[in-house]
Amino acid sequence: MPLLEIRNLQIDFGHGLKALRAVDGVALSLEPGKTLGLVGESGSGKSVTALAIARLLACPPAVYAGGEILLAGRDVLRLRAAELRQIRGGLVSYVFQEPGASLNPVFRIGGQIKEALQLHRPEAATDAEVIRLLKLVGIPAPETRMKSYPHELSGGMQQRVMIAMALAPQPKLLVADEPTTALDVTIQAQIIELLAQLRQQLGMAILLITHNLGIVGDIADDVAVMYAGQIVEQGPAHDLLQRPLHPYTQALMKSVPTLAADAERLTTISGQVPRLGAFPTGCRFHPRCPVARPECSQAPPPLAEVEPRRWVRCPYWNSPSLKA
Amino acid sequence: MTMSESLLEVKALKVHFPVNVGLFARPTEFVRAVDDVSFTIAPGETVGLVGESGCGKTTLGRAVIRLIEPTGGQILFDGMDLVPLKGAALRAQRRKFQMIFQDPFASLNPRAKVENIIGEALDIHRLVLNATARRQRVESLLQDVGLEAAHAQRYPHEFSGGQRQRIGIARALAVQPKLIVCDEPVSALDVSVQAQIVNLLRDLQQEHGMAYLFVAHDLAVVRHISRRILVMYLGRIVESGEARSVCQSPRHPYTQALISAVPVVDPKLKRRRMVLAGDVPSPIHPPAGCPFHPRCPVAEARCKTEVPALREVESGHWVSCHLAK
Amino acid sequence: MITRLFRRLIWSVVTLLGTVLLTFFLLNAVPGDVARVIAGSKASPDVIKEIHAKYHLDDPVWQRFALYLNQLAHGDLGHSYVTDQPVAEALLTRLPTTIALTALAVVMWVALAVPLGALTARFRDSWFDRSTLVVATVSLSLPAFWLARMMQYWFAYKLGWFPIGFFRSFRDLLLPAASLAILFVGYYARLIHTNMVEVLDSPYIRAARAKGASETRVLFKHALRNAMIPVITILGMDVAGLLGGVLFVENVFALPGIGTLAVQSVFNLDPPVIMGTVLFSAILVVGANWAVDLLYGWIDPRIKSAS
Repeated sequence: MPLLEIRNLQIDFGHGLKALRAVDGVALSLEPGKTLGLVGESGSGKSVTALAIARLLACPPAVYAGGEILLAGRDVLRLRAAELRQIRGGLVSYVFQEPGASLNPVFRIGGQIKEALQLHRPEAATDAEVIRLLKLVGIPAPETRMKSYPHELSGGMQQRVMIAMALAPQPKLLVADEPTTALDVTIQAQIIELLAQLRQQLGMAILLITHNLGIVGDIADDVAVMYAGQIVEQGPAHDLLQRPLHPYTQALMKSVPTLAADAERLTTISGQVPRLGAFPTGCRFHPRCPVARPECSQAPPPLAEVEPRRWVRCPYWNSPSLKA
Repeated sequence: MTMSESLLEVKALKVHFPVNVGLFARPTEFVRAVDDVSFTIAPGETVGLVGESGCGKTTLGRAVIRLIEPTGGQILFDGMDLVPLKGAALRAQRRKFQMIFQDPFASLNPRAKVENIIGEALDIHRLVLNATARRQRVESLLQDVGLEAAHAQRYPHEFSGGQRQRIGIARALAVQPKLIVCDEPVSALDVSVQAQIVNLLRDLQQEHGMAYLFVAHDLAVVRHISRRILVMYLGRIVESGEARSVCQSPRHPYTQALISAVPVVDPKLKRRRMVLAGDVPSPIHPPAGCPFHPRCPVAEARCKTEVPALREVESGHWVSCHLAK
Repeated sequence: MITRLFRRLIWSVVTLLGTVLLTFFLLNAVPGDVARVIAGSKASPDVIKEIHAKYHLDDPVWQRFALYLNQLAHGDLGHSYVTDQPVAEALLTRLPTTIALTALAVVMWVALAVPLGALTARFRDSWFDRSTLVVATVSLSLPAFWLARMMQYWFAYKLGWFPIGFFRSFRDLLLPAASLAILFVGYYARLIHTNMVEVLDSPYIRAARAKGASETRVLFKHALRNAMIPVITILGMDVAGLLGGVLFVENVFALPGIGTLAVQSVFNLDPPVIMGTVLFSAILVVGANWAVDLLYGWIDPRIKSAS
């Protein structure tokens, strides 16, 4: 049984006629101990999907309009408040983008980690366990560091504290929402390395939300690419990153600057990332797609399994113009 | 490169900020944000300035065009030293250098129409004679940066991040500067839009011939646009040279780590990553000797005591490391 | 830290001296002969002259000011011209009433405003939030003396729940304190509401929910302390400025506090007592500022390390 299974998830912002669909029919599945990378640009719905897993979206304005989120077999969207609190932190933990803003500025970091223990493993809510967790995430001198306030730590150290706090209740799933975006390049590398090492050591599954395709390749087993509220391509990371099939994935990968190439024009995707509420009809990528045909603006294409374990939302994925 | 060839020549520039100012006492400690930095930019050239947060690259970029007061050193622009200039004399020089900011949301006045955001600089430097000329100039600038003339009548909030950055570029272009300092111009943008802006900057340079000082933390982006690259660490330049040379055969261990930390998409090209230990130290109390030694994987005893000088290890390729060959 | 404390101390002294100076010269500009006040309207010119000599009333104003400062430096606030009671003694005997009244009022309004502000922020735009807003706006626009009179009329006179006036026990302070507190509850509930709304949107609140913390815990442990940081400054100033309200309330309920003393001294044109009560309120303002500073350091760890 998969640890996490999202079926046909639909999330709106606002009600009735004013409702804007931010997530439209997302389906994902994650086995225990595996890592799934969820990739997309701003407004793609990747973070909204991630927050929905523990029902962390503020309602209103968000509305869970349809679908199921099965976490260890139970539908999160149907849980009562008390059950939800058990799941949050206990079964699924979060690491967020801005570690500085995600730690409460007025409490010592040791206390904040201990709180996570008190909520889910009260028997282990001791200084010794806090120190063990801080050591686990590579914080030097944890005995004195646990008495620090968040602002006294660097961004990298703050993110390590966030990870320690997330791991304290021994969750089965860690959702990392852009965990390195706010950090410096050399610190990014440290955090990704730490996550990879912890996954091996502790055996939890990771859902990694990122806009950075390079990071996905470092750590993920599978990748799902989102665009304008939908998954447009999904498959094993190694295969997908070497041989992207959807025109968006292809264009996105080409527009990432690399060190290898000499100074030359970058390949771009024309136009702007569509705003919520202004998603195009038919295939949502068609106005920016280099190989779009007239029919692309008409019928919305389905997400189809075109090869074993390779899902693509483009009926023309196999056409010669795309293979070039 | 001889003196006459360079548009900008920065010599031993220092920017120190006081901390812990006492009641009567003089400031006791300084953040050495920029410490003894020298470099040149030729007309029409792009020089990339790379480093992590807190390394002083933004301060350096701003100090070069006198948005921040330098503590010492010289900034020769077209042969004239900008450091002693004040008031009207400095303002007269300002139209020669402009800046593009990181945050396209915060750097445009939300209550001003695009026409006035771009037109303000034209007014200040009296570059247009009348309202018609002003409107025509603004419209042609908008077209230069890939927007439409009709956009002049709109407000910043009606645009996406990428479009806003285009407005910022048009504003900088308006006065036909010789140098534009680009401070992280694409780091707040989506990947697919980043590439558009980088290409636009290249095209505009070919057309108008201004030089760029391109400040960024993303080495791959900098590599794409720059002819030469400066790598900064704790207020100092630790390596500089031709972009290809710096990226393909980095000599400083810090540059090597930066390069290995650049995420690579294609799994076939994956290589062993060199992960640096620890954080960037405080620029108030930089380590003795080589400022990089506490994080350096190959540091020796003398690295802890002797400050390495920038030396030319290859034609045009400078490194400040005792061990670099 | 030491230099900061030192700077604060200097500013406090400057504030107090400034207040004394200003009040002294303003009082001097008030028309009317103090000696007449003291001796009564029928006193003979000789008596008036004697009083003038005794209180140095004919000396130049700056000389009298120097004299007063010298007195102050020796810890002497002078004697009332009317009752001849030492001003310090008059203040001290009335201090407990005023302090108790003020403290009770502050406790009441904070204890009411905090849950109101927090809960209206949590249940934003609910009927509860909206009706609180209406009540808060109404309470904001009530004048202090009118409210005190009304409370007295209804709860003390008509319903007989409380004594109409005088001060015998702590219970007698409940009604006056409540009429003071009501003036502030609405304002503080809105203030805390606004800060709470902002704090509840911050990433660390989402992180607290993601941990599995209950809503009560999120609200009162994680959010409240952060939301109170800006409130503390305003609270400090309001406690200091409360004396204005205390003045009315003490007089309406005939409580023997500093407020009644201040009003009496003004009606009597009794300069030493006026100076004493003004000095007292200035000390209160400065003291409140110090208290806010200390409270800040405790509530927001970022302040402590910044100094």
